[in-house]
Amino acid sequence: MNQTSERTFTALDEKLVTEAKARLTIVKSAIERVIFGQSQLIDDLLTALLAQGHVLLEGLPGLGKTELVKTLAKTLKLTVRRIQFTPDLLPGDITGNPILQNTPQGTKFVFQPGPIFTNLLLADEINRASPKTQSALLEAMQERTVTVVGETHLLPRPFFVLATQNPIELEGTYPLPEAQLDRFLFKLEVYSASREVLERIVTERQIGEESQVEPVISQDELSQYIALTRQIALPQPVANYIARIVEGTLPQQSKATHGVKFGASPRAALGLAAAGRARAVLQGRMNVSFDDVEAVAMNVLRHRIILDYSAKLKGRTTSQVIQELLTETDRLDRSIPRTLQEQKLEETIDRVEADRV
Amino acid sequence: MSSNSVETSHQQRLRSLWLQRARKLKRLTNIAWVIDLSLWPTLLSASIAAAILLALRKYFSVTLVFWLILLVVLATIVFICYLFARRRFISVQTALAELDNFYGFHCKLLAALEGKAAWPELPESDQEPYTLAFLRSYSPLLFSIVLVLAAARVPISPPPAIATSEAAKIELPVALAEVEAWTEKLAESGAISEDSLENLKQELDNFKSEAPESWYDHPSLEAADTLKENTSQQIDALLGSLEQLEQAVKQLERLDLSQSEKALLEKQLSESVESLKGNPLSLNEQLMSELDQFRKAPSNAQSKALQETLKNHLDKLQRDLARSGKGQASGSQEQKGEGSSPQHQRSPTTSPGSKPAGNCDGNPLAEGGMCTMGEEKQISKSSGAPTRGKADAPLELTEKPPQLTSNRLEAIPDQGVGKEPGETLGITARAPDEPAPSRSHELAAPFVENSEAAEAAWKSEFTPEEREALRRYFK
Repeated sequence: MNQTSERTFTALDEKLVTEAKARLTIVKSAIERVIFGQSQLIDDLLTALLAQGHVLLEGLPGLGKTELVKTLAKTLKLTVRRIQFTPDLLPGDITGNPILQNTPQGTKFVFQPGPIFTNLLLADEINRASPKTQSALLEAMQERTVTVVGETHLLPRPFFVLATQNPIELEGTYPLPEAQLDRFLFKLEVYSASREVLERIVTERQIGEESQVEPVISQDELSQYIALTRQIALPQPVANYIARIVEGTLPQQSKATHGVKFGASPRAALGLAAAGRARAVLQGRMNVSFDDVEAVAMNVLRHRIILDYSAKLKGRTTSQVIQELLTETDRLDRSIPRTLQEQKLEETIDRVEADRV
Repeated sequence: MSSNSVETSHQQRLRSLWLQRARKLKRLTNIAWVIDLSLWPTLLSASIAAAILLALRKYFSVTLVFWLILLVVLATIVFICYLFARRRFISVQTALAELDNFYGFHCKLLAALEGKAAWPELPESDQEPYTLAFLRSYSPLLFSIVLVLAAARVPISPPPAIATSEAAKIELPVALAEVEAWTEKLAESGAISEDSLENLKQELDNFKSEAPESWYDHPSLEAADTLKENTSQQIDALLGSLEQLEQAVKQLERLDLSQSEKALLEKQLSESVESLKGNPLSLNEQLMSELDQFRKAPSNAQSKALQETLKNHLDKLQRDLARSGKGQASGSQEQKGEGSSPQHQRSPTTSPGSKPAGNCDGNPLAEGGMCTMGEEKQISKSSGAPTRGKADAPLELTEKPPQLTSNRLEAIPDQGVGKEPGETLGITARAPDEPAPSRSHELAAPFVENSEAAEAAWKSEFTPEEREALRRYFK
């Protein structure tokens, strides 16, 4: 207990968190003025941004995935490039190629940066490219560098890959390699809008019309919030909870993982912690809670669990596995003796918090 | 500076209060774990203890050692459960996490503990996330206590008598008990020499020194009967000699005795003294010396004193021995005037026809209706076997001790008990049935008698059962 008190909390940190929450709420509101009915999706995107994680958006064409990413880039005042992945796309088309040029020093190969050199890379329909081309993103996503002809080039900071993909059942799609899937922090599923949302879209938007979005926060501010996110406290019981969840995804580790062929990797645990921290900032808290972990677990683990054929044949999905796993795993690594009786809180905590404020 | 210090002290206070709450919750949870793990072992051990307690109460006795052992066993069980429960004990951090969950602080307490967040304000109520479930926690414990108490208090038959050495004491055979009683009376009379009494006691002690289980063996009973027989004869001889002496001294006092009568009396006196000297139960030395002195030089003064002494001793011995079951004193008194030999008459062993006067009244061993010595003698004589005491000796240690002191016979209402099937139970006192008169002449002749008188005469020969059967048949 004494050693945990070494790094003391400061009032400045709390103020920063409160400010970050307020600013990011504005960002969210700005995006929501363009993207209707996707509040949760926007929250998840912002969470991934703060956690410096890449996002894979999966959904049918026309659901607003590309529009969402473009709007986000505008509000954050980030440089954005778009790559439309096609089956004939080559890795050099993404990373860039050395081109023979006449320079004052003579004729030599000069590296011509590809579209990947940006803050926000929109990899549209990523699963339409061949696995070889898809793999060109591996180094960029993990190390945030690009190596071409033996030369390593640093990517700009912040660097995010927001990829969209169509469901693999569609024709002309390739499944993403597991190694690349693992590098995406979130896999978000985009669903069709409800009738009310559709009505609003029809009423307020015109086809082919570019949405006008003003930048809300600067790039420096975003970097500051990202740095703040890294300082968010992760209590040991929460870390233990994350570890137990990730361990629980491994085959034969729990009842929930019936039909699981491969479970989540340690990178998933890191992703859970990072995403939990980001969500805590968005909630205006200085620490990660169990709720944060539970909230991001689905997005973090969804694409990291590989089911076997029998489970697929039975129609079991990774979302079901994760849901069962979260239900099965206790927040605290302890059991309550039968001689204890659980109590319900009579006093609402809101009042306590209000008193404190 | 002041606002910062105030804030810091406030945070310190909140920290100590929250930690206090966390420790309280930790204590409660850990105690609950110990109770939880102790429930079944305690219940099981209490059941076993209750069973052992009942068995102890039934067959042995419950001592303080049992309770101490029970206490130690229970303490050991609780300690072992504590060791197992320690693995599940929660820490202060976990308790804070519980409080976090309970109050919905989103792990703020945990972060504050790590110094990464401010301690939240304490809620007004000091409600705990958990309370001890009293029914589940204490009911097995109470049940265990009730079980042990019930086993300790429930009415139960006491341990069998054989369990204690006192209860297992075996009584002396009747013959020896009687000899012992006679010895005591002889010692009280003061007429018998110390050596004689010592010899008699020595013989009794020799017998008693044997294992009590062997007292009722056949050789032992034979020996006891022989001792009793001999002692009885010696006492009879002693009493006879004393009586003869007393009579002789009394006769010698008379003045009208002729020389021949006087010589006869002196001879009788000498014979009696010699007889006394030859008896293992000898008179005490003082009396013997007085007798010797009187025999050598009889005088009237000596005669009076001696006569008085002899009479006193004789009366006392007869009275005491009669009380102690030596059936002779009163008998001798009754038969005094019949002119027969006193010794011959007074010996119950030699005069089976005489009615012994001894009874069981004065014998402490004969309480409860023990038969008189004379009767017992008759029984032993008639059966030709040594007496085996008041009842059969206990051959095994049973729960219910045999009624050794009872000679009552219970009435057996069912006469058929012990009879073989078909064996005659008895014959009634009425005269045997007269054989039915021959009715051959009636049978030979045609049956014409069908009058009511004839029918009545015919029916009169039937038993009531036959009559009832006929009545039913012809109804």
